[in-house]
Amino acid sequence: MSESRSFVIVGAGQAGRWLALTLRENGFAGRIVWFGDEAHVPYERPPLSKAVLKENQGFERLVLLPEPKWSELAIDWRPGQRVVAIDRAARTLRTASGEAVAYDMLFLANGGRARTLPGLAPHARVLTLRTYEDALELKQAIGAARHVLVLGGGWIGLEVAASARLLEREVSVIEAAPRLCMRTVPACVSAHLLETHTAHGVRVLLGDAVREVVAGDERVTLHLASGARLDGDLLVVGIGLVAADELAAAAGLAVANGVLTDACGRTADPAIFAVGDVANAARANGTRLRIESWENAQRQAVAAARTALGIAHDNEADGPPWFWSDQYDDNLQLLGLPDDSMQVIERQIPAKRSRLFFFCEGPRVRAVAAVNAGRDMRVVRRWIAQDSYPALDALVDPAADLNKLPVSSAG
Amino acid sequence: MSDWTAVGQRDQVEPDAPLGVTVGTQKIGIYDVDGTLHAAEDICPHAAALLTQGFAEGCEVECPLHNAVFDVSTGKHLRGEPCRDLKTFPVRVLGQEIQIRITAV
Repeated sequence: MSESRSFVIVGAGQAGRWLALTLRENGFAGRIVWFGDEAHVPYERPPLSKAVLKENQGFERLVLLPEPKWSELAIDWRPGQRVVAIDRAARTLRTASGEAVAYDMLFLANGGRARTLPGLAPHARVLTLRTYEDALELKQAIGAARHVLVLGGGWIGLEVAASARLLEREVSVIEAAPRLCMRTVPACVSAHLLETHTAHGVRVLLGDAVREVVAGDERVTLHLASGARLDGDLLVVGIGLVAADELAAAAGLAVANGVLTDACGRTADPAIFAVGDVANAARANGTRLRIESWENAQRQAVAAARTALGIAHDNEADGPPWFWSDQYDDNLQLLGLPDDSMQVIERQIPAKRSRLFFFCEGPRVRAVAAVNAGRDMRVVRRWIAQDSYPALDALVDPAADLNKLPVSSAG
Repeated sequence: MSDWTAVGQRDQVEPDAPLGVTVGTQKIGIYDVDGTLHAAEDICPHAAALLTQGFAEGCEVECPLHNAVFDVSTGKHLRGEPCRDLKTFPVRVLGQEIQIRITAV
C-alpha cells in the first residue's frame, strides 16, 4: 500500500519534533514537509536561559533529533523558510520565497515571539530571548555587563537573572505585578521564588511599571512609575510570549491569544491542527488555556498527530500539565494548575533543601509545586491518576516517605 | 583493566531506594529489581542529574529533573525526554559485599 498524502509541519521546536516522531511511530509513510524559519535543525529551547548562558554548551547538545533518528524520519526539511500564507480552499501554503506547497494535513507548531516593549526601538543594550542566536547575543552581553536589568519576573526573567547572578553580575528584576510568576503560581510559590532570588543577591522590585527606557551607547536607564531610576549596562525584556497566530488568522481561522483548538489540536478546518505555544486549547472543564511549556508542546503534538491519523486519543488522560524551571542549584517542578483558592500544605526537608507545596481541595491533592523534590512528583502523579490520596495532614511530616503513605480513594 | 570493586553492603540497597556510589570518577547507581542487583551509570545524559535520587520502581528509574525514564537492567531509555541509553555494569554480591566491574572507558 503506498501512502500518497503529504503532511506539512510549520515550526521546528519541541511540538514539531513530536509531530514528526508520532506520525512516523504510528505508521504514517507519506511525505512529511517540515518548515523552520530559523537556519538550524530543530533544537531544544529550555537550555537557552540556563546552560547556554552559564556554560559553554555547544549547539550539538541542543539538537532535538540527532542521527540516526533524523535520517530514519525521512523528512523533507526546509530550514530558514518562513511560511507566509495558507490557502485553505486549495490546501496550499506559500513561503516567503514564493514557493507553493500543497498539504493534505497541516500542523501549525510555529510558537511565538518574545513580547517587546511598545515604542522601544531595537537597541544593542535591550535584548529578548527566544532563539539560539538570541541566547548567544545575550551571553556575550551579560559577559560585558556589570549590572543586568531584567524586566519581567516570570520564568524566563528569573532564569536569566539566576544565570547572570551565577556569572557574578549585579542583577535587578523589575516586575509590574505585585509578585513573581503571578500568572502561573499561587502566592506561596511566588514568595519562595522571591526568597531564593533575594538570598542570591538579586534586587527584586515588585509592583512597579516601566515608564520610560532610555537606551544609550554607555548604559540603559529605566524610569519607573514609582519615580525610581535604575541604571544598568543591559536590559533583558522577559515580559512574555506573543503567539504567532497571525498566519492562522489571515487564513480565516479563529484566533484569540493563539489559534483556537479542541483538546486534540483540531481547528475548525479539518485539515489544520495547531499545537504547542501557538495553540489556545479547549479543556474538558470548558475553559481554554494556552500553555507555554515544553511538556505541553509534546503532549499536544502527540495528540494532534494521532488524531490526524484517526487514532483515538484522550489528551487529559495523560494527567495534569507539568512544568519545570532550573534556577541556581534549585530544580522547581509544577504539576497541575494550582490556584489561590486551594488549601496549601507545605512540606520541608531542609537537609535536602527541598520544599513542597501541595494544593488541595477536600481530600484531593490537585496540584503540587516541588523544589528539589523531583522524586516525589512521580508519587503525586500516581495519587492523582488513581484519585487516591493519603491523609493530608501526614504530608507535612518530613520523616514520612510519601511513596509509603497509605492512600484511600477520594471517590 | 577490569577488576571487581567493592562498593557497598547488600542491605544498603532496597527496591525503592537505590544506592549511588562513585568508583574513580564514575558515578554508578545500584538498583534492586525483584531481588537482583543491577548497576547503571548514575548521571542522566540529558542534564546531569543523579538518577539514584529519582524514582525507582521495578526495573525503571525516572530522572528527578526532567522525567526521562530508563530500564536499569538494560540501560535502555524508555520514555520521556529523549536521550541516549545508560551504560550498565556487571554487578555481583559476595557474602554481603556488593562488587561491580568497571571496564576501561
